[in-house]
Amino acid sequence: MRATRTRSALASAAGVGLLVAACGGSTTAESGSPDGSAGVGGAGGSGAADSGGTGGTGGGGRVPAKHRASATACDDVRPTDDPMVPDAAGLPVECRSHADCTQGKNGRCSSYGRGSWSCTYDECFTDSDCAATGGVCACEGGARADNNACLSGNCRTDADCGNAGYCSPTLGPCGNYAGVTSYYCHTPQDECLDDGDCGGALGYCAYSDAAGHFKCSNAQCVG
Amino acid sequence: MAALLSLAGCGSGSDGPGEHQGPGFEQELARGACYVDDADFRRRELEDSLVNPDNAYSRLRLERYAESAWGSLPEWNPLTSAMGLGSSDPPADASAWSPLSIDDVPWQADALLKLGQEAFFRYPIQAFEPARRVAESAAIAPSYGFWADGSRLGGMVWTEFPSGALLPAYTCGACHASLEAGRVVAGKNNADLDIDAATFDEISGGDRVTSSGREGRLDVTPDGIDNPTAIADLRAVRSQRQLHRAATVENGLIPLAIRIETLIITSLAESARPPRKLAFALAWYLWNLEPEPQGAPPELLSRGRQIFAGECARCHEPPDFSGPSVPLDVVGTDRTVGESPDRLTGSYRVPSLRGVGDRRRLFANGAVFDLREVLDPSRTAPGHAFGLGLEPEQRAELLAYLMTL
Repeated sequence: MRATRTRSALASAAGVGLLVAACGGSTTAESGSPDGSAGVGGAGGSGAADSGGTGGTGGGGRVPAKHRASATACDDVRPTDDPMVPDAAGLPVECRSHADCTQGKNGRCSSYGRGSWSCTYDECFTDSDCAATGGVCACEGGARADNNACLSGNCRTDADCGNAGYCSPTLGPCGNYAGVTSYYCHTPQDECLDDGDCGGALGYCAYSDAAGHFKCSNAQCVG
Repeated sequence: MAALLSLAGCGSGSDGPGEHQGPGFEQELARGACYVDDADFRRRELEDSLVNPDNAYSRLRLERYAESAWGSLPEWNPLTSAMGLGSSDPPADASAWSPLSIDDVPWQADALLKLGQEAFFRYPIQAFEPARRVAESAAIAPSYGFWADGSRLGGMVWTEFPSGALLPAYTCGACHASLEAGRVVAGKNNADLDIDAATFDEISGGDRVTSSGREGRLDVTPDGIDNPTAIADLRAVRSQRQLHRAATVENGLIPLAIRIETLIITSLAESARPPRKLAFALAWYLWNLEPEPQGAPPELLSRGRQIFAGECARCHEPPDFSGPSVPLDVVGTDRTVGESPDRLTGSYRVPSLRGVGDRRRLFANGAVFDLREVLDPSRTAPGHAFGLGLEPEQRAELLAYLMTL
């Protein structure tokens, strides 16, 4: 799993030893379980947790609104209507119809919503198709596209996060720039469970590589 | 450092455009020492530099740039390792990893310059997972506009994050350096960098987005608006009157250091902060970069200088060829970047024209490719009508002069 290559791995390379955490899990499909139960946002929760280990709930026993209780397979249905690619000069256009996209499964000519048109493909249908990343196969989870995509992180389902643990999707360090990029276990160190814990409309609760746990952010790409 | 402090004390003072490394540099370093050691000084400098205290950028900083908030974050100086081309995995050899040496650097101009230069290419600013894929082969990197320094992916480093994860991360050099004829030009904006394409290919599973159409541009404002801005050419940063396209910050060496420090804090989701000595060294390094004037036929220069005086100098005032910011309506270019509630001032800054001859991606949103296109009356990007009415011969003369700035 890409994002779980850890200090342990480095230490191991240095002869210190230790294992890289590994996650189990099988198939995909996000299962949101809004709970709505009371409790304050922020840190807390019980349960011992570390990356890839058992997970706490954080938030004083609340259940995160978005977590992956179980894995399910994605369907292989994608839109069949050809896109309306404008015939404007200067647009970066790799394709004009789905038929142009023949290099993978379920090729579709997709707009990224930013004036460019490129082929996207389903790169997985179940988590087991994501051996390279070790992460979740996100149904229609491509960035600004509706293809199935392998994500990164340290869990695939709640079961990977220990007893009463939760495995939740997170935006990357650039915020909503590329949508959900990975799934991580919640831990007792988490400073938030849901976006609603993060104040204003643009705040969001995301896994922070710098902190090593979920915390509020409004970061966009650096600049 | 105490001796330096005594030179100037930690009061307010100018270090704005025009004061270069030279006779006054000891005073600049003294003020840098104040920035590192004196929280009240830092706070004053921040408050004095914010053009509009009510936009989101300013409000966040006014709320949290204090010892009780961001000042209490842990300092972060992680282990990093160069990203070699040909592998998507971090090096397994522990000897390949090291943090920056900061504490041992003396508070001296050259030593800080060297630290800043090293940090520019080695200190991680933000994780960027798609770089794994970019690093897989020497052929992939340039297709996304990343530059390569020999066998290394330019400006990218493997970084050990506090979680223990080993991830690729940007340094300043990924976006703000270019490869020119085999030579790394620090500070020059990477006009080819297509972060959107690299990101979408990574997450969408495509082999290669032909182009996102956004090379050299990036949406950096947390405002929920799609408003990419051109990556800045930092070689002329000392000559800018304001920082940010929207003229959000009055420029100066200390405001620049604070800008860098807070940029890193926010990119790390407010989990850590850079050592302030490092933030100042980065600012010091940028402050001392020099653009490289281009050559031009001498017979055109005299006339070109006269045309410049009539057409351009009212806003781009010598010797820095910058000036007070100009209302969005007057500039007339795309307003999207300037209207971001994150950085709103109602104006665009007047960019310094020092080094403009080989600058790429001009205007706030990077809508034109280079200086020649700016002055081309047939260009489609709107705004900045200044100079568009020149006759072809006059245009050539003006261009020749501008190339030499």
